Amino acid sequence: MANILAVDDAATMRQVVSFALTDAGHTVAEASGVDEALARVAKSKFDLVIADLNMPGKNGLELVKSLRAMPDFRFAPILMLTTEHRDELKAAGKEAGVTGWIVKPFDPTLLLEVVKKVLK
Amino acid sequence: MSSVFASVLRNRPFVLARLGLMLLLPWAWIAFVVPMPVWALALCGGFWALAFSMGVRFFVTPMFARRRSDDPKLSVDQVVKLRAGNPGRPGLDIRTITGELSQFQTQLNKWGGASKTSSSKTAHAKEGVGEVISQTEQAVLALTMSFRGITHKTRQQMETAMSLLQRNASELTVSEGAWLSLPDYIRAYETQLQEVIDSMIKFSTASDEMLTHQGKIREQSVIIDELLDELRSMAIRIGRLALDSSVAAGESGRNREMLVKLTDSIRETSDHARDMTRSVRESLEKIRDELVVTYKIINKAADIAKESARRAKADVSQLNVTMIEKTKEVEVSLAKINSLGQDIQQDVNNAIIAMQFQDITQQKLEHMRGNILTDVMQNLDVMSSETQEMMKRDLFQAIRTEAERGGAAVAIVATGQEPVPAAAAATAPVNSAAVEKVTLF
Repeated sequence: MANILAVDDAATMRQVVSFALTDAGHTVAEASGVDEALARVAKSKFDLVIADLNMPGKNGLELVKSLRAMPDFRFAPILMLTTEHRDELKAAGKEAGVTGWIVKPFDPTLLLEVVKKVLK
Repeated sequence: MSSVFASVLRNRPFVLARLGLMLLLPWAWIAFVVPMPVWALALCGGFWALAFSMGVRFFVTPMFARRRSDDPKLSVDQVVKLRAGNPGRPGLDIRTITGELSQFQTQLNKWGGASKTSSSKTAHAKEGVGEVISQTEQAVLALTMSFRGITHKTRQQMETAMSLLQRNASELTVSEGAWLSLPDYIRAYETQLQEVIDSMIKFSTASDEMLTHQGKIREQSVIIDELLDELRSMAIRIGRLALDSSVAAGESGRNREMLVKLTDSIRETSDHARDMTRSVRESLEKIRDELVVTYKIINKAADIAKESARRAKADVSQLNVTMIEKTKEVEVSLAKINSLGQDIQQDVNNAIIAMQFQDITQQKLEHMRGNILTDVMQNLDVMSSETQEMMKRDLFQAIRTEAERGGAAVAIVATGQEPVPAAAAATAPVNSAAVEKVTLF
């Protein structure tokens, strides 16, 4: 089972993601913003990062760019979990190094399938 | 009237032109049809001028005069009183203009006040939206936590129920007071019953073996009986031999005493042997009787054991049938539990999806609060500021001065930093805290 970091400014969303993944046996840590996420990544090792796009201060794409600059996260999967579904944003995410893009609201089963797929 | 006429002539000349044309047409038609002398034409012109003047006096002036009695908020008595006329007051010309423009000023002032009030209310709404977002987030968070707890406990309950139903014999560890699943219970009962059957079968087999051994004992007792008969006949023969020896010893005369003793000894021994044989026979007969009783008891016990084993086998067969039925019930229960589990999982998924709408709504509200409401507030502030700047211009100052001087009167009560015409307050929203109450004189 994987060690996953959920990054979202909304506590409810972090709880929901944690709820969906913990039940499947994964270990989920939470961060409420980009800076906190980067601090957590520096301290612990994570197999996967699931981040929101729109957050106060730095957004999700900036987090992805920062993570991709780290040696440990050069090839690690990063999922974007957001309400945005515009193609140009998805293209920007892809360019930044996002592994997958999930549009809210998500089905927990779908999330688990995606997580399983990207962790292979 | 002249001021009104001048005002109308300046601002609405087509109204006067239409009135003049309307009054002139009948005279022109008469002059065209009926030839008239100059004095008659002059008289017609005089009548036309008089009619024009009266038209202006009675129709145009009331049409354009802005009267206080037009205020819809006045009572009927007040309107009657105001429309009764006041001969001490000057004409309506300046009042008309002032009234129109003061209405405009009132509207501007009202607009400025409304903008300011709306800006304040928008700021209040912005704070309210922030509170709603915060409280909703807390509520949904609490709901999420509770929901997690509920689903966790439900899962535990289900897993416990499943383990009770699915546990197999290899995992069965029966301790005092421990719970047993239905299959476990059936299995344990069957095992115990099988052990009872095995014991009874062993007992029955042992009883058969005992009966076999008893037969052998009886055979041996018959043999002993025959031996005892032999011994008895031998003892009788020895007694007879001893008697013959005694007779022979009496006839011989020599060593007589010694032979008598010998024959007496033989006779005693023979008698003793006979007594012992009798005693042994009696004991054997008692043993035989006891063996017969024991045989009957063992035989009865064996019969009972066989019957019990037969019944136990029948019970096991019935138990197997029951167990098969119960196993089916357990399978059905397991299927139901599995189905319920799947339903619960689907409900949980749906609830998780529903919970995310709070976040989506929150983002939209945040966007509205952060961008839209701020823009609205800024726009309202700008409009309020611009309106107030507009009202400071010379035109409005001049109108106010003129109105005060002409007695037509616009009693102005300041609203905030700006003067507010009375009509504005009369038509302003009652619940607007930023607009103070004003009166028009």
